[in-house]
Amino acid sequence: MSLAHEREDSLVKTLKESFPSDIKEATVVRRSRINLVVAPDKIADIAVFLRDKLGYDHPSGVSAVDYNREGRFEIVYHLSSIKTRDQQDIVINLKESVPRNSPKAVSLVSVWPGVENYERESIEMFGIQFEGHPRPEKLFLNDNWDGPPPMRKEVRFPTD
Amino acid sequence: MQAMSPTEPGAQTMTLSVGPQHSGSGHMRLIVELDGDIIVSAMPDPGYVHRGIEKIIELRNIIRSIPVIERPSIIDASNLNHAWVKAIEELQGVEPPARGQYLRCLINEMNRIMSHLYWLSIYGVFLGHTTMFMWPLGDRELFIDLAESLTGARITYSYLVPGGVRRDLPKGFAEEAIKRTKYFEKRLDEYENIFFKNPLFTSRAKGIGILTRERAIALGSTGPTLRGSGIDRDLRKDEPYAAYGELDFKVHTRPGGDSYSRAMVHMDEMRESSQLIRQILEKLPSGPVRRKAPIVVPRGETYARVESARGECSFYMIGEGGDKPYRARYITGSYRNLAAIPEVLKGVRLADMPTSWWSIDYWPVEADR
Amino acid sequence: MAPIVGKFKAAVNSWVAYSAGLRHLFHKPYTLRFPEQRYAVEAGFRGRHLLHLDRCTGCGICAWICPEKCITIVQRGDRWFPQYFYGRCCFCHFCTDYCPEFALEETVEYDIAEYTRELLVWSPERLAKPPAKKDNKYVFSVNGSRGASQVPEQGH
Repeated sequence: MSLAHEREDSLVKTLKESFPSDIKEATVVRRSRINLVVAPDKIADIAVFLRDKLGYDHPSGVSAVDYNREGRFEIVYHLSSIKTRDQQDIVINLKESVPRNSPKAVSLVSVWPGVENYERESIEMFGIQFEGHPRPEKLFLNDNWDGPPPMRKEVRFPTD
Repeated sequence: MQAMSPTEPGAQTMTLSVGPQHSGSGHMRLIVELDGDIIVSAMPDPGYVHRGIEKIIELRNIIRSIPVIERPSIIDASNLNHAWVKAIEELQGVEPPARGQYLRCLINEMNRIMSHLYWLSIYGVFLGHTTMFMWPLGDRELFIDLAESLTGARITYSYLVPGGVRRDLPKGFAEEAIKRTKYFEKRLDEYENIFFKNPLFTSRAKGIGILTRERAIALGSTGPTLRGSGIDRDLRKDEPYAAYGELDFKVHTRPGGDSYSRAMVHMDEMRESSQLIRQILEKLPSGPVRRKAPIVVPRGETYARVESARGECSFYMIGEGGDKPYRARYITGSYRNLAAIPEVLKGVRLADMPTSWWSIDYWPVEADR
Repeated sequence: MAPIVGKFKAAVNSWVAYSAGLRHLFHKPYTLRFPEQRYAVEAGFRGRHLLHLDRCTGCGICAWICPEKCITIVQRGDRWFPQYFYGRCCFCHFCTDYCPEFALEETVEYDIAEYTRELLVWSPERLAKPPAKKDNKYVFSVNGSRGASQVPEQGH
């Protein structure tokens, strides 16, 4: 496998040309991995562009990270492409940051139906609110869980 | 068959909870809406075996987390272990020696066979075929015994560490493994005769539980569920890792999208893994099996993934320079296929429910972590 | 015509399925009657630990690396040794790998079950005793014609 990344560079160029003011950062981290940082209010348009124009139709997961020292949550959508055969190994990490004291984000279930369960998990584990999510109930925790969202950094359980 | 819509006047549905105590549901709950005998919608309710593994691995150093990482899917432990170790090695910039990579592929393929045999035995017992419950579990002993001589443990090995593997091949392993894989392939023919060609199974599984190609892609499914709908994606070929770039094997797909297609994809993969084991033992290079790697997670982030038996298992790891990761997001194959369960069960009769949803090979513990 | 051909094929496949099962009716089952017939585990099996008291320096690396935190370092006179709680041990043997003095060794002894949890705490002296020998060993073997079975181990 070559170490050059022409496909990744051309993807980044297309994205920067189509959304010149909305993308905060688009970098090729290494071969086959692209990081894309956008503002939370523009993420729905960029998501539709990624799915329809660039062929990134296969959601691989959604992660949420608690950067408590910087006062924000970062929500990362991992996307891969099945339609385009020569981009089979590329993963685009679509990132957005929401402030920690009012964590509101827009749900992308209408763009990729498969992200529903991951967003549900982020709702219960971090306390992030996704607007427009069809089923914001608890997924893994008990229905009567009354404690704080467990994955936040300040929540400590007895460690060993 | 058309289900009567619940919005028609006079129509109502019954909610049935196929709970964790039911022997046909595994350790999770399915909330099923029935219209007579036909399922209108099915909602899975996981979380019965949730252990908070993502929180645990933020509190332990990377070697102490290895037994924890393996436990979500004990029958497929080495593939999950490989995803963890791959993420750490990408952050550290360490590359294991060639013999270590081949041994990793060897234990991965043995695990793939073991996991598919376990799936097959539970599939048999869900359909009432108790011979198919006993035979695969008995033949699984062939490979458990081999794994025991290689790693020292029967199911959860803790065999892969950052930098390589812990032990080398014992004497006499190669001849025994070749003998056993040849015997196993004859047994697979017997399985086909007694189960996969049996009209008692084909009449129950063909055309049941359809997952179309478009829905499989949009829902993010992976592994045999995706390949049973005609999409040939396999990380071992798309993004080769370990020694898979130098090995010669086929990716098996079936175009049907029904339960029979997914079951046959599992069978084909078992045959392929069996010949891969012989190929690996033939091509095994010499040299050390392990390189020194520190117990540290350097600053950076990475997204590492491997092809486990049920699909892609991936880690999104963020390091900040200590001996523990700052955040390690763990997504397993079963967690990704959870979204396909409501899709597969729409419009199916209640008696066909185990046939359809177990053919996805959803392992509840792996999804709950 | 096609329904009749379909029914004929189904009948043939049913007969093939039944005969595939019936052929195994007279094979010997391979179930061992433990504890009279014991399975001989492979040579590299990871059972309980063997402690070499003369080599141990009491550094505590085994207790630090243990994933389940089952090792406590206890004092014997002016030296310190590990004490194991086998109720939580997962037999990963990272402690054996990381000991800098090679004071810990793997044994194949696996039947260490007790009736009370307190008896599962093994003192350093109990860990230093060599494992007991057991007989009636059976091994797993794949014979070309008879298939897989548990056969008595020869020459032991």
